[in-house]
Amino acid sequence: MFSEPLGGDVEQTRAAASYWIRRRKQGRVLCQNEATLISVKCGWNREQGGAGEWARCMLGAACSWPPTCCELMARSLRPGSLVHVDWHRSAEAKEFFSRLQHKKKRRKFGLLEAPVMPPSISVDTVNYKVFISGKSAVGKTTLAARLAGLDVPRMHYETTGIETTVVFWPVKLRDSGRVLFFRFQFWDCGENSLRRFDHLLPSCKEQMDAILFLFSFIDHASFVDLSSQIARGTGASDNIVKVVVGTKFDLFMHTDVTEEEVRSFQAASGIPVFRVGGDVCGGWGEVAPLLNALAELLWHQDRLAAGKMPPQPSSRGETGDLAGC
Amino acid sequence: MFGSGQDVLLSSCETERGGRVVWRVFHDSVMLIAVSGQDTEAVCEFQLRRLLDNIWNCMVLILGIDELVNVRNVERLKRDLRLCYQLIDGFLEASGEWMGDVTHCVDCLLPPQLVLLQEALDAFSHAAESEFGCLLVHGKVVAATEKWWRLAPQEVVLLTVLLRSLGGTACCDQPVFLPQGSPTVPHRLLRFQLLPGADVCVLCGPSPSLQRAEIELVGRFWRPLMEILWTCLALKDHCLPGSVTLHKDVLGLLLINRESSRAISSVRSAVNPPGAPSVARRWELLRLFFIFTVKRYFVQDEVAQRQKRESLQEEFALGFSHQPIQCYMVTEECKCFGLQTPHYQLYLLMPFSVPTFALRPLAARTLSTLTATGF
Repeated sequence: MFSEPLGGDVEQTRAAASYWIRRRKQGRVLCQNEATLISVKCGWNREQGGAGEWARCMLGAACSWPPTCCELMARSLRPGSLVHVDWHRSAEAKEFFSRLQHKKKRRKFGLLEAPVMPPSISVDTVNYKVFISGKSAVGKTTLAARLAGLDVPRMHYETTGIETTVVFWPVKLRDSGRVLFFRFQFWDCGENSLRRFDHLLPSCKEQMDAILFLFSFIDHASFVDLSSQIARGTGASDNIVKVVVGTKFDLFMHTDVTEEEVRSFQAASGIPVFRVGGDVCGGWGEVAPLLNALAELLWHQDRLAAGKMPPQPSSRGETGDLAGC
Repeated sequence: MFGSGQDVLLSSCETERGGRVVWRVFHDSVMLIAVSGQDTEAVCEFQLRRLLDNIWNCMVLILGIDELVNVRNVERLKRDLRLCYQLIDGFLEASGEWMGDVTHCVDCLLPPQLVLLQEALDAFSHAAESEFGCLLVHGKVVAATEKWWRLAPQEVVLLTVLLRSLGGTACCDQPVFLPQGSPTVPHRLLRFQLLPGADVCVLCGPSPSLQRAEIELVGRFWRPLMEILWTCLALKDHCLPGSVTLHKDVLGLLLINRESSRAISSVRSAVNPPGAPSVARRWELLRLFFIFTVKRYFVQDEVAQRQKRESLQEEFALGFSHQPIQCYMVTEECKCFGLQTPHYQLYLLMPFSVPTFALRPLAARTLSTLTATGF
C-alpha cells in the first residue's frame, strides 16, 4: 500500500482528506469507492486511516493551504510531468476513447449519463467547472462545441444567458499509471447578457476551477483586452487555473496578433497560451493539447490544494478497490 | 403612413407578381413587416400574421417590453435585438415535426407511464423552488406542472421553441420575460439535458443557482426514470405510446385539443404503402393541410374576429352562415380529412388508395381512439 502513514503529519492529512471530501460533497468527484479515492489522492493508507470515519468527522472543514504558494507552484509545472500527453494515440487508450464515440462521431452525453466501461475496468471521474471568458463574438460557444465534438454553429448568434457543455476526457496519470475520466463542464455566457443581467457572472464564477480567457487572432483589441479580463475574471486570492486561448488561428491571412506578442505575453504572465481554429474534423488530436493541459493543471492544483503531492506507491494496490488504479 | 394620416387602415398588400407584404405596429413603438416571396399559395396572410405575432413575442421574451416600448437609444436597441436572432430564425425556418408556430398550440408527446414522469416533475420543480416545470422529449412536451399549463399557450409554444434552439448544451440559465405573464420582470429559465433529446426545465426566481440545481437535484429525481425516458425518446416521429393502435392506413395525423391548446402530431414512419409520401413530406403536407383548412373552413374564433376587424379578403369563409365540421381534400400524393368537434380538431393524412367514402368513418374512429387516451 502507500508508504506514508497517517502519523506523518496528522494535520496535513486531515486537511487533505477534508478537501477531497468537500469536493465529493460538491459533486466534483464521482468514484466507485469514496474511501479508495480519498486514500489514493491523499497518499494515505486506507486501513490505517479509515476514510469513512474521516468522511463523517471532516465535513465542512476548510482547506488551509496558502494560495500564493499554490500559484507559484502552478506556474512552475512543466507540461507533461503529471499526465501522458500523447496517450490518446496509444493502443491502450483505444478502449477508453471508443466509449466516447458512436458511429464514428462523438457521443453526446446527457447529464444522467457517463461513459460506460466494462465491469473489469473501474475508472473514477473527476468533475471540473471551467468558465469561458472573452469579448462578444470571440468564439466562446464555438470553442465549447469544438471541445465537445458538437456541430460548430454555422452562423454567429449571441448566446443569451448561460450555456454549459460537458466534455469527458480520459487521462493517464504519470506517477500512478491510473486512468481517470476528467469531466469538464464548460460554462459559456454571452457578453451582452452578462451586462444586462447581474446574476449571471457570479453564477458562472461560483466554485469554478479554471477559467479560459479567449482572444481572437483576427481582433487585436481582444488581445489587448486580455490583461483587464484576467484582472476582472479572477480575484487576487483566487486559486484557480488560468489558460489563454487564441481563436480563429486558421485565418492567419488576416492575423492581427503576432507570434512575438503572444510569446511576450506568455513570458510576462506565466499563463499558457493555446491556439485553436479551422474546421472541426473530429479527430482527438485537435482537442488533445488543450484538454490534456487543462487536465494536468487542474490535477496539479487539486493536489496542491489537498496539501501535498501523493507519494509514489511502493507497490500496486492488491485490493479489489484499486483495480482501476 | 399616408393611410393612417387619412384615418384609413391599410393592413396588407400584394405585389403584381403575387408577393405579399403584411405589417403590424406593436405598442405604437415597433413596426414589424413581413414580406413573402412570389409564390403566395405557399405562404398565406394567415401565416405571415402569426409570424409577426411570434416574432414580436420573441423580442419581448428576450428583451422585455420596457426596452421595446420606451426606446431611449435606438442604436443600443438594435444591438440588443441581435440576441433575438436565433429565436426569430427558429420561427422563420420552421418546418418539420412541430407545428406550434402555426397552430399556436403546444406540441405534445404522449408517453407511456405518464404518472411516474408527472410525479417526478412535480417533485423536481418543488425542490427547485418553482411551480413551473416542464419535461420535453424531442422538443415536445411530455409532462408539465399545473402552473405551466396555465401560462398562455403562445408563451408555452415560445418557450418550447427557445428550448429547442438551445440544442446540445448540457444546462442553461436563461433570463426570460413572459410576453403575457410577466413582460417587465425577468424570470430564470433553467434547462437540463437529462439525455440527448430529453430535457427538463423550470422557471424560477433568484434561487437555486444553476450549479446547485444540477448537482443536487437532477440526478436525484431523474436517474430512477432513465428507462422510461429512453422509451419516450424511442417514440420519435410517432409521438404516441405503443398502446394506441391506429388504423393501418393512417400516414400521419394532427390532433388539437381546443380547450387546453395542446396538439399531438404524429407521422408513422412504419406505415409505408407504395407511393406514399416520405416522412419529411408528410410533416409538410400536414402543415399545409392545416393551414388550408383553418383558412377556408375551420376559421378559429380569434381569426374570425380579426377578419371582421381588419376586413381581409377571405370572403369565401366570411360568406358561410354556418361553421363547417368536416372537410376533405384529394391530391395526387394523398387524401386528407379534417374534422372538428367542440373540443377537438383532427387532421388526417391517408394514402391515395383509400376510397374517399371511407375517409369519414376512419377519421371518426381515429378520433375516438385518440380521445380515449385522455388527451
